[in-house]
Amino acid sequence: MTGLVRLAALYLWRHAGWSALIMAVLAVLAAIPMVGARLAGLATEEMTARAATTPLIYGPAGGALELTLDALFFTGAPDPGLTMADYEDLASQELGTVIPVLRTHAAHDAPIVGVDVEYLEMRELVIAEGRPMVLMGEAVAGAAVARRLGLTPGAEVQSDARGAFDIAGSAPVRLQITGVLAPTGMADDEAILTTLRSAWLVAGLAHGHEDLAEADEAVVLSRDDGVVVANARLQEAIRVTDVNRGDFHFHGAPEDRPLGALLVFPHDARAAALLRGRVEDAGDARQLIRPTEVVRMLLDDVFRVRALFELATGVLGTAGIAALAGMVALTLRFRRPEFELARRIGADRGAVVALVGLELAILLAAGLVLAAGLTATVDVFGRDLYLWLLFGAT
Amino acid sequence: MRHILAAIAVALSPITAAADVIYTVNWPLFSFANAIADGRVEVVFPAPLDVDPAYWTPDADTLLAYQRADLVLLNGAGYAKWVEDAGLPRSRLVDTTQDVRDRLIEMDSGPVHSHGPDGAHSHGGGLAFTTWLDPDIARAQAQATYDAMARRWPEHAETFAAGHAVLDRQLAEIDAELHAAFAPLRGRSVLASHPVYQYLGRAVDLDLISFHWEPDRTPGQEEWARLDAAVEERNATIMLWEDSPTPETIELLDERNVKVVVLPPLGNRPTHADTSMPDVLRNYVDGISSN
Repeated sequence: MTGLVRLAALYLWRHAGWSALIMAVLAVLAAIPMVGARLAGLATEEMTARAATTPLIYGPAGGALELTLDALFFTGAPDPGLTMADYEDLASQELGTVIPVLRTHAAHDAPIVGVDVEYLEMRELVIAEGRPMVLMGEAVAGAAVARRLGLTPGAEVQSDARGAFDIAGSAPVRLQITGVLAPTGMADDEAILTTLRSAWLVAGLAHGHEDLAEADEAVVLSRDDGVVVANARLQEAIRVTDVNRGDFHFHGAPEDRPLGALLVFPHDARAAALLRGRVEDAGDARQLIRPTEVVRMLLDDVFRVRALFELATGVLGTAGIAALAGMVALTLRFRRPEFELARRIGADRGAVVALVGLELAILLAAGLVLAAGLTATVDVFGRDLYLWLLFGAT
Repeated sequence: MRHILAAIAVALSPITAAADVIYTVNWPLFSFANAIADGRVEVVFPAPLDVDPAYWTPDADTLLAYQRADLVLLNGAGYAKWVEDAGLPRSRLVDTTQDVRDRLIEMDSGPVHSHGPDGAHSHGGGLAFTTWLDPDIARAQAQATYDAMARRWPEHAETFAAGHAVLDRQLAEIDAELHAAFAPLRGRSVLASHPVYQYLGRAVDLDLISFHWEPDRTPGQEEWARLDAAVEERNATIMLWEDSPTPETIELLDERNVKVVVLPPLGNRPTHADTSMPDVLRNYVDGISSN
């Protein structure tokens, strides 16, 4: 038996290219369903966990899925359809903790998300390096985006020029990174979290410039009855510093400033029921959704797609195995003189069958080991892969 | 090594509020909260002694402490502009003049300007913010402070209620005493070295004429001319000061038969650590009564 094993191994070694090809095909055929199941499991786990830690989301009327993706996963087209008046109204009911969220722009594909600082507490986010954001123009970077962009405390990140919500044709703004979050395996890893005022600044709702009452005449178009009109030469600051912080100002009423969604953490089930009733009574302009329900519906769709995927994988796998069997049969036909020679020198038919069986067993075992290795890699890097698949960045 | 361990501990700690601590943006609110808390929770007013808390901006470490406090008592009326810029948890902010917004006093606005598509706007003006100088508004602020504290720490509600009752009674008494002390000046013109006595003036019915005179600087000729006009036209004989003016200013005012009455608005803490806000307002009564 040892001789047969040695003979089989030597054959495979001598035909290393063919052996590697068969092994790779077997590995891929075995790995596809395993990796697919792992990624689906991760997605289910992450999405469910994220939704489960957010009891309710309040947002503008429209698609519940879009609202959930925007508020929880910072993905999809943002819809800043709420205002601070909505927040004040909901918070004043004192039925729970209400966290405003606003996403209008990104920086190098990482979403810039304006939140109340209480968001960090509610999500139990840990600052791994540096400190939380406290002033306008400051931000903390998620672990993955910090790694990707090389962000550390003290670094700056510039918002992309165009956002989904350009009220005043916003110019890029440089945010100062004050901290980096510890990895969470959730959407926060890919986000740049900042204060609401900073998010409004990025959205073009605030700006900083020199005092026009004392400005050089070169930047003044007209002065009329106490009204100073500036021309295009007026330089607007693109970063907030200790020196120019006082120059930044907002236009418009504070209650009109936009928000994307409100994360609602009711005190108890009664408070949640009260809130739902009040929102329903208030009309159709707003909605209060349970993200777990939305995610469950999404996952139901995903599972339906997954069943199709598994069917397709099964068909492809069967075809692959058939092709592989044909290939092996062809190879055996080519090896007929070799088997004939073996019989002439004393090997019986059983030994030849055993030799071929051993060769295939070795290839199958190696293929399975490779497939297990691929699956283990997904276990290690699966969260990054999942985030990349979901959010399009690593 | 100790610093490294401390840094690791801070870095790994979740971002949570410190236990049982209230931060305030000025000394009057510190005084109210302290009187109500009766030692059950820590009350912190971190501004240095040599700053005006209305215009002070805390450093990053102090801002983080505000961010982690259980409650942050705000004066409202645009006091301490830094609050607007700071990333403080809104659910823990308490605007103590929220319920008396309709009684806040508008000041003159600054120059108007426009640029871009947003129309004309101004950065100046705003609300007068020394609200606590009207004892009735001070009572409303103390009430808001008590409400927030009792909601946050219901287990201490009884202690807080007792502390608040004493404070409220003191403020009510002082309100009556202030009205009595200022009665002779009712409806009359009174000069003020700075526009900080709007709420007091309205409470006791004074016709205030405000200047921008610094206690440590003797005003120039132009400013004296403006004062002379006010004295002549409105027959003002008293000038309220935030702090004692220079001897030369006192002498020049004396020549014009204008008496100096020092009534510090006390946004920051007084010299004596155990002074309370009712004590300060009682000093107002004494100050005006002796003149």
